[in-house]
Amino acid sequence: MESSQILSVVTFVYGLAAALYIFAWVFRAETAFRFAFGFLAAGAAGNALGIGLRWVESYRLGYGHAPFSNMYESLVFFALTISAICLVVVRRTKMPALGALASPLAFLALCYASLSPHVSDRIEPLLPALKSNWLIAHVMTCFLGYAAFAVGFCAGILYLLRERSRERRDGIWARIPDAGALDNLTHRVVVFGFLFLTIGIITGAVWANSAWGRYWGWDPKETWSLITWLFYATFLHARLVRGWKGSRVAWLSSAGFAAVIFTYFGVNYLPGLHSYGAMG
Amino acid sequence: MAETARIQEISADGREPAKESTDQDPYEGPGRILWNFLKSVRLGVVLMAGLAAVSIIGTFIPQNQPEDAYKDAFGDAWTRLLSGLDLFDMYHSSWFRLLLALLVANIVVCSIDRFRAQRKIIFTQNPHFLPERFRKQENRQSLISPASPRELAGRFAHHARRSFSVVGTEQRGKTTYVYAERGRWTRLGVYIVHASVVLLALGAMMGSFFGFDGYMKIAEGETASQCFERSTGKPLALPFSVSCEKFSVSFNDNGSPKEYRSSLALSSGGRTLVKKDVLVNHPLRYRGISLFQSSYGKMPPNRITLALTPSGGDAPLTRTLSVGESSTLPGKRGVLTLKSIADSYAFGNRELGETAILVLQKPGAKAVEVAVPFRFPAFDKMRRGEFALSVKEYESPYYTGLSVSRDPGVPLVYLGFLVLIAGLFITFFLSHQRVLVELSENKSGTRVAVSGIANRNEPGVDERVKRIAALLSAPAGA
Ligand code: HEM
Repeated sequence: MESSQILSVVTFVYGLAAALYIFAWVFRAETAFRFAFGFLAAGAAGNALGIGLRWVESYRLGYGHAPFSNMYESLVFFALTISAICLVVVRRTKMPALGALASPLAFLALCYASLSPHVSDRIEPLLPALKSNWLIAHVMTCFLGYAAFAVGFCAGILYLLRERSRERRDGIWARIPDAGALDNLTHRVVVFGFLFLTIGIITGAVWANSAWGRYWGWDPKETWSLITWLFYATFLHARLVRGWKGSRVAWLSSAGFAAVIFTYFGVNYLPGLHSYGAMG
Repeated sequence: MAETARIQEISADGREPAKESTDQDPYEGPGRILWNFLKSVRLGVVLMAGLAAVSIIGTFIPQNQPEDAYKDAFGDAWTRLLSGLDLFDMYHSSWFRLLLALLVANIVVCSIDRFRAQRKIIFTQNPHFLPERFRKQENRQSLISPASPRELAGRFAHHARRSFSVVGTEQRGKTTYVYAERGRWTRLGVYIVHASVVLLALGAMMGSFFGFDGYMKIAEGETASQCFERSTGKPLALPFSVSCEKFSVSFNDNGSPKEYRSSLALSSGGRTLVKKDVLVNHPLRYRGISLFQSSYGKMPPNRITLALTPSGGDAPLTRTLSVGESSTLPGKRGVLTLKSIADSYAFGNRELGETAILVLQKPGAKAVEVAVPFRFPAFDKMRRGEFALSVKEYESPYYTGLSVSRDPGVPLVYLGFLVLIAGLFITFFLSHQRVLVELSENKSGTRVAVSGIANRNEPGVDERVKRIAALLSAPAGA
């Protein structure tokens, strides 16, 4: 089987897992919750297998490079990191609501990868500048960070939903996890994401220095990753300032994810983008 | 001890002290006002958010473009305004640097201030504990054991010696307290992180004061000894000359470049210093200056092959000439010299593009200049000479585009990177954990209470408390 076929199946499995999580949340269905976990885990395993196969295929084509070189490949890896972090968090916190928000993101990433006309799934040879192990480390760590921020975004959204629905203590509103747990979760995943984004920026800088002789050039992609980093640094310190708690921090976590998404996609639409624009 | 405990209490849950201690502040007057301004976390939050916000501007306005590009895009008045605000090179502007400097000053002052308050806690020789605080912990486990306090204390101390760094036993009234802790030093993590930011700032400053960032283009076979600064285009003399002895490029099936390499030789005063093939990701470094393969392209052609078609209908001749080279034509038909190759050539009001300019010198006659446009092979027929000249082939040499830079700040920046990662790891994943075991004898045995405090990552210490409780509830001698 080819990697692209496996990944189509994985898209479907992720969709199913997402539907089951939503079902489990809405109807408080314990069985659906367990099945959702199983499907998400199976999807993640297939996703990893698909990436591995694609790696092998690129060798068969004679290019031989890690599958982290274009938009398609980065979306596929993003889907894997989101589902992996979602699995860990759901396993620890037992929050169907979180699965219901986070697993669709993995599904969407794969849908976008395979359906968007702007994203090609062809395996292409690498540009010389991209032939570097730093690139592999850079992409992996950045996307782990992004995925953690995605889950932080979901936890932040849940927190805000909970605030909004304080009077309505029925139906699914009653099944949003409590504020303390969400606040705690947001902080933990953001801390994880911050560490990995930091390592991602650093490996990117080291790579740039080995390829172009400077570790920082203020190009839009770099600058946006710094903006995102500063934003989450602000987030970490905001809790230390009196009065910055609860919903404000949840807002920050959601807005931070908007910066992540802009760093990832939006930068390609800015004037004067850089040569490996769609790289991630 | 009460004072230390208060600070411990506050820092343990990570909040800012309710009242900042001013009594031990050695700074007076305006100095103190400045100090108090710079130590505020609120200022830090505003600065970080503010830097993130203003950095957005420079991603929407392309930086360091030629003046005319801005005028086309924004018009004269806006261009003057934006350029006055340094928005066309904002990341190197003085106001942006001032914001960065303020952030660094803020980090330094805030960290020093906190460190002075926390120093005693972090480096204390005999750690104190307040039983009341431990009693409030949710992870507190209580049980009754048939063993004696002495035996239990010994059992815990034995267990704790392996995984905890300080173990002390204290008798207060009827209760025996056994206290253990680990990872007190991890409280330094935040300072390590903040120090790394300072290292990065110092490294970046060194780079911008003592380094440069330039580029140069060298045609295959040529030599150059200056490069151009990337941001200003100013020429910079290099302490050596760079020859590109050979350039080669290979392509993938889809036409994208696969690999390109320049064989470079550096020399000075006629002496070759070093030779190396430079590829993307494989630079040449010499005396702190690095040359990187960054781009390549074609120079205008410098060598052409001409077809000379006799007007009588005989077989054409060919001649290959470089600029400045001459060739004697057979049968006293003169000497043909390639004078130059022009980018453009106007014929009447038509533009003919790249054109070879030749000089034909027939014996005993006046030299004539002959223009041979590359793209119009029939053009020279109009001259009605003995030969019609046309360009059959031409060779354009490759040039190699090199980035040339020196950055003495890189070691400091890399050190900052390592320290930053280490500091974040310590701050986020390790914690200062303290465990107190209270043992008091009563009729039915020993009342045991175990509780733990961590300055972060509470689940970790909760787990330890459970394990210790299990250890102490096991039957004696187990
Ligand atoms: C880009 C620069 C900065 C970085 C990367 C950084 C990083 C960090 C990190 C990772 C933490 C731990 C956060 C946590 O516990 O969740 C922290 C804590 C802290 N930071 Fe920063 N920081 C920066 C700038 C600043 C600035 C400008 C201030 C200003 C005063 C500041 C003051 C503090 C304080 C007071 C703490 C809490 C220390 C404690 O818990 O005892 N930081 N910082």
